[in-house]
Amino acid sequence: MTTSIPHTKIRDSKLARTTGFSLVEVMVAAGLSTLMLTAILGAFNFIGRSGFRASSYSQIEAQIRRGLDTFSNDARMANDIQWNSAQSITLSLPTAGNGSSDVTYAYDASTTGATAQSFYQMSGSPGSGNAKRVLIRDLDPTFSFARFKLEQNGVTNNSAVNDLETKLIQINLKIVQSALTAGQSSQSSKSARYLLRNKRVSN
Amino acid sequence: MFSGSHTSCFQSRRGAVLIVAMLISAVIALMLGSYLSLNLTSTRLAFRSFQNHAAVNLVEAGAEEALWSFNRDNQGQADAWTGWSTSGSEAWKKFSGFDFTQNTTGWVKVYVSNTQPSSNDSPKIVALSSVNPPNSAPATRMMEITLRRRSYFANGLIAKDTITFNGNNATVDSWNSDPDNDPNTAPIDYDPDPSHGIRKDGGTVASLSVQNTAVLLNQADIWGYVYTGGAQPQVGNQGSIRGASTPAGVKIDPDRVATDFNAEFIPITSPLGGTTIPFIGSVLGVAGTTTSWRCSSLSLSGNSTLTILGDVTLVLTAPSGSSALSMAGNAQIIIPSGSSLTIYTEGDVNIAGKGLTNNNTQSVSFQLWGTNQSVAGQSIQVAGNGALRGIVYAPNSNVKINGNGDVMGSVVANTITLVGNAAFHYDEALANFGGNASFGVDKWRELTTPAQKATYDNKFSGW
Repeated sequence: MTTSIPHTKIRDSKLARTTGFSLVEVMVAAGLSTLMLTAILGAFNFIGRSGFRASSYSQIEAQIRRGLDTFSNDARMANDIQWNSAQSITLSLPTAGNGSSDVTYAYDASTTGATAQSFYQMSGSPGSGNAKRVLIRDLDPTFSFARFKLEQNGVTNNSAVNDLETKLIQINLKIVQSALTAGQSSQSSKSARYLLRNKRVSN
Repeated sequence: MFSGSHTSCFQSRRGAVLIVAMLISAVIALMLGSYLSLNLTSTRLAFRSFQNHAAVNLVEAGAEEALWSFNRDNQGQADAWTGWSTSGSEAWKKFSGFDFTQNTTGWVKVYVSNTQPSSNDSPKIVALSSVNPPNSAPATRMMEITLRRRSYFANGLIAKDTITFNGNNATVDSWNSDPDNDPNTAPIDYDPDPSHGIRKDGGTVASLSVQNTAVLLNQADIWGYVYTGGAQPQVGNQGSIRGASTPAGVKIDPDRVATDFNAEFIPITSPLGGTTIPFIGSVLGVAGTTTSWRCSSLSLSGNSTLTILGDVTLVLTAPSGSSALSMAGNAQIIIPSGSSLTIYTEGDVNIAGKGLTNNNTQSVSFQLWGTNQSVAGQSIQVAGNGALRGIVYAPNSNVKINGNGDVMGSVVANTITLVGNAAFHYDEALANFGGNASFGVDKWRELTTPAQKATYDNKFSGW
């Protein structure tokens, strides 16, 4: 016995398969697509944030290196220091011959202005009004200088209490950079203790 | 027909997936590339920073080598400048072969301006260092150091142990008898009148001791600075530590007290030369001439006097524990203007009676060098008639200065006691009184701009 399938039935079945997806198929596909897109978007967002932070840290690192390098060049040469406050010092630098010139390094704690929350360099004393050169931006208000005297036998705390005995200077700082979507990137740094080579102390 | 249409549909979908996958891969590759670039930049910065610091260390090491040669030469060592290229008084040397790992090497070239300096010269050391990484530009640093001889008298009153002021009105201040550091110009005498601008606030009192009895100022007024090895000075109700910048009403200016004092008290030995004489008469020396004498001791009493003529060096050979120089009654030692007396002894010294009359302006015209190195030490007592001018270096002695007048100069001793209401005036010119002392760094200057470096370019080219 033979069975023949009518030609029209085959055509109907083919038509039925090419006319569209069932609701269930569409919903499953949409669900899967949503999950996949969410995962991809999440991954991109994560990578983007990480990238921004990595960029911020790199920028912070470069800023700190450049700022401290500039400061250390002058600190090494200073023959005198004036402690204006824990956030401001004035160094006297020898010039050719027997002269000297002052340069002030300070933190601007204000929240507005070109040097707001920045560590800057300015020739002259703090009140000289000369142009300020920003060395490090986006600093936390905890920025501070620390001063030390030369190490002595049997003396554990060699913090200096006045300009007379100050022989080494250090900077403690924290940079905080923030972006609307990527959150904050911060880095705390404590510089080396720079020896004021030309400054005479009591010995 | 059917099967061909089905295959085409799948091929189209695979192509879309491939494009999406490639796009995502490209984005990820871009990000990874950025990361790598960022890391590479950070690493390069870190290396550069390391190389720059290494170059600073290297340039200082080179300068230190030259300073070592200077001080070896000062000690009379013949090999002090061995290995250096010299031309006249100039010298050059290159130190190379420094290995900073990772194929980074370094060298430092050192130039010295004057290898045979006199006592007043300030020779210069200039060093140029280079740290050479394999695939980037070298990090270079250039530094200029000006030297000067260290002085035994960089401060006014210096003691290993205690300094005590017993008088109720003792004072300490300073002046500079030779502000231009030129021995050919006339010295300037101390003048207490503030309107003349000669009196200064640089009178320094320093003790190495960490005990709280290190500096007992009591009622003394210090117009200058007080240094100790760790303790605060003890100041009485009437005492003060002040300076020109001290605000009115402040008795002890905290900016004029330092607790970091540290000093090396180098033992001194007597010179070997000199004419040995059995006793010393009323005159010693020849006017206008430099003479050296050796005698066991000197004792003056009654109305006897000893007048010094010319520049006299006197070695009193009395041993430790015995009297080397004693004066009593109305006896006095007179140093006329233009003459000087330098005494070396390890015995005890008691300049009393009418004491020492020094008619010169500068304190270096009377020098007392204590050479005692025994456990018991030596005793030195000095009294002045009028202004007492002189310098005392006796690191193993207990020095007592009696007088109610002016005491001008500097004292370095184990302990120092000022009896009476003496007005001590430190002569700041003594900070330049180096003689044949060793060299130290006077000025350290990094040359950073091309104009600064150009001064020495010709000294470092071609070798």
